Amino acid sequence: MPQLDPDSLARHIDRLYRAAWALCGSRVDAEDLVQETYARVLSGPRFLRGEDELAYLLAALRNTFLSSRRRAARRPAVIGTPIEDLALAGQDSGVAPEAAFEATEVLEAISRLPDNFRMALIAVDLVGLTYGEAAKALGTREATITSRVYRARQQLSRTLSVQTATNTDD
Amino acid sequence: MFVRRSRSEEDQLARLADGSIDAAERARLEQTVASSPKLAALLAEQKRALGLAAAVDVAAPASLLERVDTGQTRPLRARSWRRPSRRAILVTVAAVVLLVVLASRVHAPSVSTESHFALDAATLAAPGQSPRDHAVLSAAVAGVAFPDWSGHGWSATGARNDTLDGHGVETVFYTSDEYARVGYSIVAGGPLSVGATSRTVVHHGVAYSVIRAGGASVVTWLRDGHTCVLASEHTPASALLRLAQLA
Repeated sequence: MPQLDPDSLARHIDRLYRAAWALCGSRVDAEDLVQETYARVLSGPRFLRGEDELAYLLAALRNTFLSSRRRAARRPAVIGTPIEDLALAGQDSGVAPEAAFEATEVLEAISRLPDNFRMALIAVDLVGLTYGEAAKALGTREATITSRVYRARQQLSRTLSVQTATNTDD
Repeated sequence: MFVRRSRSEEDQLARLADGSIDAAERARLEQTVASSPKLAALLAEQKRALGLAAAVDVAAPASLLERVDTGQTRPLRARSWRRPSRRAILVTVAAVVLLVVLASRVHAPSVSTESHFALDAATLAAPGQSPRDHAVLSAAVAGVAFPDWSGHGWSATGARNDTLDGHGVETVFYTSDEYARVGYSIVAGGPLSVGATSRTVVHHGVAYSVIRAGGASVVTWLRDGHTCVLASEHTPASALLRLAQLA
């Protein structure tokens, strides 16, 4: 049975970071989520059962996210934007401002999708898994994933169209 | 209006949009879509979402790469127990100082109150191109000149002068074929309060704050210590950001 190669993790970090951001809706939380996921994965030997590394890591990311959300639900909620988010927003990313702005809008819109739709869209359209790989990683049928991706794309497209229309029609 | 499609139809449209449908099925479905405006609209939605997702070009920051570097990663404890880095402390202190400064200016004009000048009607003719520098117009505030964007498809069409709490505010209006009118105001004096609803994007060391206020998109930043405001009711924030970079 093939084993996850720890040295290969760096290859996937950009895609997992985007997936984490779309899950959390916050870049700071995304960094923590990726770090915690990698910590879990590296805590012992991991064997791959038919999935490729990326699908395995996405499943680990999702499980870590769900665990952290359960923990967070037991803590008092933080109201407002964390000061770290405000400060980190000042980092110079080197990306054109309008592109960075649009990317943030899209990731935040994805983070507001219903859980199942969001995860399917992240797996297929952000991480780049096939429908079959996504179905295995998320433990569901391929037809279910395809349908969820369809609905997620539809909601995302309509949400961002409404935002643009609000900007331009008011 | 949302029209409920059968699951197989949804699957096919999703696969047609991303190209994962097999060739024979593609040809048949493309013919069906071509004869149905409803299906064509649904397919366009799928493609638009795909385009948006594909355009998310966000790389993991260097700090995260360092944190997850093999062998350095440790399970996180609760965030409140994490020891902040020196950089995080410095950034936090700077942010707190900024908040205190902004709080002390609570009665000062803000970008939100100022931006309406950029949305008002022009009362003066547009300034012409500067005879000394063709990249700028002949209007300026405290040495900060208004740009000449005619080479980028934006023509200056009017101007106005206002005063807000003792601050002189000059505005030049630009229009383009593609977008609606935008107003570019420069406010003499120190930086204005931006307010809590902004998002900040930094490029080449310049912080651009994006605000949505009263149905208008507003982008504000500093040039030589003076507040610049680009505002428009019918131009998206991303287009304003592109313009702001040219200023």
